[in-house]
Amino acid sequence: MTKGYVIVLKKFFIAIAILLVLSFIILGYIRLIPGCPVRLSLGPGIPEDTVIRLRSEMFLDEPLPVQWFYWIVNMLTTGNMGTSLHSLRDVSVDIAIFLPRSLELVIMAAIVMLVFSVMIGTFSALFKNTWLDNVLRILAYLGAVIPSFVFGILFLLVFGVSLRWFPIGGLPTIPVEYTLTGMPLFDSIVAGDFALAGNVFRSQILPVLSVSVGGIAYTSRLHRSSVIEILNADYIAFARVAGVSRKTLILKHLMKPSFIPTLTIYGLQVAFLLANMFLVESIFRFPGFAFYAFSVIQVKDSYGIVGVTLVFGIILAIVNALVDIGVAGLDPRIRLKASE
Amino acid sequence: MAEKFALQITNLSVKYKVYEGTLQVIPGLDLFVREGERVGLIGETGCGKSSILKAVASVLPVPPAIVSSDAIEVFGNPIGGRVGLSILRKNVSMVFQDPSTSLNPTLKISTQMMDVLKARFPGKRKSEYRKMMRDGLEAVSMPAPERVLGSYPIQLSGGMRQRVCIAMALIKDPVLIIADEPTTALDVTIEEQILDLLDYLVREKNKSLILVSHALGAVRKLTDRVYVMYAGNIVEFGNTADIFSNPKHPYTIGLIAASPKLTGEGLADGIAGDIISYINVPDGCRFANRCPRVSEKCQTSTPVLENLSPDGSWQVSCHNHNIEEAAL
Amino acid sequence: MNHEIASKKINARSELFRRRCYKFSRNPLSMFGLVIVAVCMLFVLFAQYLVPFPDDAQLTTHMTKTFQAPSLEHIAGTDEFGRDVFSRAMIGLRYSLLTSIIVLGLSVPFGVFLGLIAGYYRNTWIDSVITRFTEMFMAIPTLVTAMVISALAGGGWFVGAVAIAVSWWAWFCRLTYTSAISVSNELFVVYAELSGVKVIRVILQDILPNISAPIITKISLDMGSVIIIAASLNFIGLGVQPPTPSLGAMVATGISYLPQQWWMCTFPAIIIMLVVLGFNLLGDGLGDALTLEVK
Repeated sequence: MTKGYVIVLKKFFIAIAILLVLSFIILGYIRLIPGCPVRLSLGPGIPEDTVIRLRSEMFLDEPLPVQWFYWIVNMLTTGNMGTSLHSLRDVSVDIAIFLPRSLELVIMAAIVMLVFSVMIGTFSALFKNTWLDNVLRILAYLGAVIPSFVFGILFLLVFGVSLRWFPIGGLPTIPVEYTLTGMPLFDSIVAGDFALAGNVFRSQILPVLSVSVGGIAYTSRLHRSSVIEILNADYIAFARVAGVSRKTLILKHLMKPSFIPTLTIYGLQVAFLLANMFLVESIFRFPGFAFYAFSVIQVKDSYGIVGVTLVFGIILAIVNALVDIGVAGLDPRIRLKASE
Repeated sequence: MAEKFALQITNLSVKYKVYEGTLQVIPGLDLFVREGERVGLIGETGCGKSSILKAVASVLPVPPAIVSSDAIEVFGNPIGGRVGLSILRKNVSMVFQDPSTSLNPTLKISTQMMDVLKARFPGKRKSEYRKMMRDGLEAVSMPAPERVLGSYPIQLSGGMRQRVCIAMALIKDPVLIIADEPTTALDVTIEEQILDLLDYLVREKNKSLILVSHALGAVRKLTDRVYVMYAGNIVEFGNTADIFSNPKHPYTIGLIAASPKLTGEGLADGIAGDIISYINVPDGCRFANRCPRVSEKCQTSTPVLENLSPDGSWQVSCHNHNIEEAAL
Repeated sequence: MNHEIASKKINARSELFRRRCYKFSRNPLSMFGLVIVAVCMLFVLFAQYLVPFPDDAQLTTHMTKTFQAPSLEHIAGTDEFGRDVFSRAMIGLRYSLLTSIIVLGLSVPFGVFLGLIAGYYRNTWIDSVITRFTEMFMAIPTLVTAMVISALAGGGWFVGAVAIAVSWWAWFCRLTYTSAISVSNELFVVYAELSGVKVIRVILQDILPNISAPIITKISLDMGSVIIIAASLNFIGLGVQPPTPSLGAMVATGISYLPQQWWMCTFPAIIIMLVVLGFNLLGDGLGDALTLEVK
């Protein structure tokens, strides 16, 4: 049992090490771009000594390995991730502001995706080759081939512009005194301001839906075939003959093994979800992390880019670790093998 | 006095719709098992034995299978519909061929047995269920039942898994047990143990049994009556002793001659040729292409079961069963 | 004798191929996918001659014809510069497909090669080096990597394609690696190794043909996925730069003219959908047909 967690932890730390190597490559690559990045981003009106001070603060005058080393040491000791030339704040401060907003959306979308894909996939499989199954399958096929930004536009038009059910974009301002985690919905609920929480939730619904529809379509398709495979397994027939009730059979005997392959694919879909936040945040003008990431990427802000990629990588590594733990939890074959 | 039938099948037909066409696996078959009777079903792989058993247990995947029958009755109750199905589930158990695939790999043995008990005997306390499970495992002479209950199937050996399967089949106290080649996937040394166990339990608790097996010795030992199947048809049935000592159908003769003996006579002969394809089944006897006694009539008219004994307990379906071995 | 066996082997192979073609052609959806893909390929080659207004792909303006609704002359209407949306979308589709071809042309050989090597030398240092190397490119979502690279390296569809390929190959490497490992444990490979067949022959003759089915299927499915990724990249203004048309950018521009000039946004979106659908149907059909084995 414990050895299984050691394997997961080891994988996680390898992922972190890989991300640090990547940050070295990114820092090096940005240095190759001609011209002084500080001067370029601050503009010509700024006095020379400010530029020089900032350059040395950012270790841009040191050789690359030294710059990288200072960056890591700085991050580990003070938590600072270097000054962003985009916002002129420390990157960690920016991340603390922008990340929770998007993270809340991602968590909501991940839950929506999980619930709907398992439900749709199971129904489709249980009613295999009926009209219900056929309709669901066609929808799933279409859902998987339509890019998420098209869904975004569609939802914006139908529910935002035409029906006016939901706001067409943005995010209500959260008072500073509410700030706890930085997640707008969570913070406003904790602060007890349910009117605000309602407004926040309304502005989150459309982004969450548009970012998760593609994943639901893809994952439910996979879950359907997984359920069908298990339905044909000997042990389901045996349990049926042995007299296990239909409800228990579906909710336990069928659900548990069929969810194992689905979970792996679900993990990959959550990774796509992160990337698709770029499109959805730009459509709904949502001031989230992808919006921030896009800005730093466009101005070629070296610490900003490194910080952003690091965050994406860490989230991905966490998702992968959770999937590993989940699969081991569901499948005793893997769990017992790991603890041998 | 009316006989009591544990299972009575009348005119069962099973077809499979596949990519190449429709497979006429079971054209129309009658079979019965009396209460407390042990019946064997023999025949080579692919002759439709499993299809019959799965059709009876209502676990054939439909589609591709198409099952129809005049009647399948368990103690006189038709098995169709919701009520019929619950009677079936209460009274009939099945042990599958491969114990490594018939237990759910993701659930503990205790969970799987518990779910059977909860459906059959609802509303008991957890400790009562626990005791029933322990007793069930002890009945199949499982060492350390508590440890087995807490295990996953992967932690058990093949023989232990089959014991668990038998325990699960018996725990709901059924009247009929269907054993579909219960020892084929096991080691020879384990095979003996499992068959003895099955024999003991069935006799002890006075259950009805349908045993399908390639091990003809086991069938001879365990059963009262035997059905011989070829290509979806019953070609001969009767008392086990009669069939084994004096087989009448040329296929039965070949099958019994083909079973390996430990008497040092060398390898058995076997039957030349392959089983026919189930697509576009030709007229006439399905065994004609392999039969040593084949005559013109066999190619054109399909034989039906004829009485060999006056009370109809021994029947054979062959045009030429009267021809003596010597005349060949 | 040997000759006989060899000819039998060829017969079995052509028989299998025939059966696979038959199975594929029996599924109307797969054939529909094939038709879409074939039409797409025609446009890649001959878009200049097939569209009614090839010049509209560049920065031309027809001030008298702006924002025309779909008509017989402009079946998908015109945009803010009076350019034919249909012509622009089809030329944009051409760049999308070229992007897919470049991405897969780079990542399939590279990924499959590394995957085969790592799979063959499983559990050695070669395996771990390649695996770590692959993980490095999978550590960040593909779209993010592609965005960073195309933002840093400048615009253009080719840079965009290379930027996507940089992380795309890793998935082919992983697929090949896992398939190669399971095939390598098969007895015929072990037997070939034991009888002293050269490594390169074992890999090319015994392993590669037996793992080609999932790879071919993935190629077809990925043609669609790359189009979506490329369109997403264009949608946020990276990759293909205006005035060269791209489906993603056309959708992005179209949003600001919604809902009055709905055709500007809708038409390119439908094209993306249809093409991706075509490749998915083709890929699923291929997957079904290729898993068919001789009985």
